[in-house]
Amino acid sequence: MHPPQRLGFHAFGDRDDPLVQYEGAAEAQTRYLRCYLHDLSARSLVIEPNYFDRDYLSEFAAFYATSSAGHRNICQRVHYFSIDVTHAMFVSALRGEEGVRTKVQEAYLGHVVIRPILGAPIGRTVLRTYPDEQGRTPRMMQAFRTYKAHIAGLTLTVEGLAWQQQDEAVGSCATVALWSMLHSSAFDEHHAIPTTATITALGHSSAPTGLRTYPDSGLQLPQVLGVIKEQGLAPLLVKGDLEHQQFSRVLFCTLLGSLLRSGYPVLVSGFLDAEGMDQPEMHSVCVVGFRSTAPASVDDGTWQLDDQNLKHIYIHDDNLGLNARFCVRDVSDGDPTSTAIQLVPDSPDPRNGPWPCPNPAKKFYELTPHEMIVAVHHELRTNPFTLQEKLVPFVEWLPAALAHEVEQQSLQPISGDVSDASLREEDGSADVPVVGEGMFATGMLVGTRFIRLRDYLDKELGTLLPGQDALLASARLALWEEVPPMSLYIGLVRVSLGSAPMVDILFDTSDSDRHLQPTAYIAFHRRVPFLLKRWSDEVQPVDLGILIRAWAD
Amino acid sequence: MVTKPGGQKVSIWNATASKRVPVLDALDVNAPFRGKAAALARLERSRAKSKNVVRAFATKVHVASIRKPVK
Repeated sequence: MHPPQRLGFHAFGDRDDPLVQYEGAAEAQTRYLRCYLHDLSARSLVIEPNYFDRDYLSEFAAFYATSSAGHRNICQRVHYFSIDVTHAMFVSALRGEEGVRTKVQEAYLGHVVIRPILGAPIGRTVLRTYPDEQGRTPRMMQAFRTYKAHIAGLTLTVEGLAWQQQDEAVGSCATVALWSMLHSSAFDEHHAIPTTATITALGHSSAPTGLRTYPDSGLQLPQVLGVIKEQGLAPLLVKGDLEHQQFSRVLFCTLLGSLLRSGYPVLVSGFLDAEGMDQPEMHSVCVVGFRSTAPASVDDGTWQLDDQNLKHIYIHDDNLGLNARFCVRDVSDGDPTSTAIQLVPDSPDPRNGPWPCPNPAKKFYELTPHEMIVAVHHELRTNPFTLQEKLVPFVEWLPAALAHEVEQQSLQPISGDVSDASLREEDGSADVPVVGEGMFATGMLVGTRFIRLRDYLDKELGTLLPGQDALLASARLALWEEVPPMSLYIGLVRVSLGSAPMVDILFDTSDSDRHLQPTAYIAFHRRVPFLLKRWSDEVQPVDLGILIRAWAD
Repeated sequence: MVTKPGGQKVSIWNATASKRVPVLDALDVNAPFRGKAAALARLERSRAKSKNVVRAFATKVHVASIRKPVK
């Protein structure tokens, strides 16, 4: 029987901090986590010396229990805080002192499970992200979920997505990336999250290779896809579109943006070249988020996919750590449709003085993506690349029609038409662009994502039409009463002028791609249906389905 | 990207619908439509600009051809 032990209270980074103790066993991961926690202003930690971890127990049952090394089946769990949490403070929180509980919760940074495996000690780890700085473009982490940690009756919560180091016995990098991917909040209502041992076993049963299951020899792509299917989800696989199966910027970034905004983390496989490696090797990581970019300037009368200029994405890499910031780097200058991209670590500078140890994210490391694999709900029968391919005739007419009318009617901005200066960003871009050689700007951005119909009606329309209760109610009711029944998940295509939405086009996703077409469109300005009718009557017909009015008179 | 007063950050996905869009507000709905050929030519120019994007998204996916081990 495991002996009972007291909780441990220590300063962050002291010799009792397991991230310091285990540096020799997992140098890159422990150093990365120490630098990350340092940037989160970590000051103290509480160690639960006895913690049964669901994932490790599964690994233990699958492999370690029969090892003659005598591995233990119990872990430690280490909780990090941005204040000095003492024994006395903790006891106050356990007594139910609300002020102390709140203080401890607000300072809670997350936890790290320490497995009793000397070669791979870092188990399930969930840590919060750095604060999203004000005045900058928002960070998108839609897949994050809330994790609860219970310690002696005190419940602490942290937002994030779980990560762990691969142990090479039960899980490889692909196993760990899949495991993180299946933690997404998008699947909350769907299924139990599989353990790494379950993932490896499912991979070998769904697509046998003849290789042994344990110790794990790495998953092949059909096995990765098989695991997703075994989980009751649908796998999507996208190959790079350029020579040698590399990805162009436009394909990689816009797909990534669309999938991550839909709540689906993306497993990216490719060739890794890093310091200390003799030659590039295949590697898999899980992309969990990205930093959105300023709306691009688009040529008049044309359109461009949103997100194609992504600079930073956030990656769970078992070689490194969680939420690691990577730069999407162009291999050469040129057209975003023909220039290959690579992913390289690009950690921000230290936020709280020098890091306590060398940051492995600063070493040479480049990943050249070749495949993207995603798990989506099986009710979703299309995919973002088909949606982005098929949307063209339904969006191209709007900027063209607007530019044509502006030219034919010789429209020019008059004084005061320029957007409110208070709405302009530091770089001078505007909410509704009207600048450019004394002419109205007419180029538009097109974004895509998948969303539950109920969430579109509730959250998305609510965000679009704040404070316009009657309009919001009538738009919601019209979508419910006037549009033929739609699928559980809809393909949402938004056309925006600057960041101002012009129209949302809704695609049913429950049929074959041959029938992928709009069911309804929500116009946010009365001139949108006017332009559509003119274009359809005079130039060429465009059918966007049922019109939903969402403009204020 | 726009930062609204109060620090709220805005992208095309969390923007609010604008009641006032100057270029749309300025359109004369009674003006006769003219220049069909010019409109079609403009559309063709737009298509030429986006054709590489469309080609990228038409990439075919062949799962069976990929059997590389991923470690």
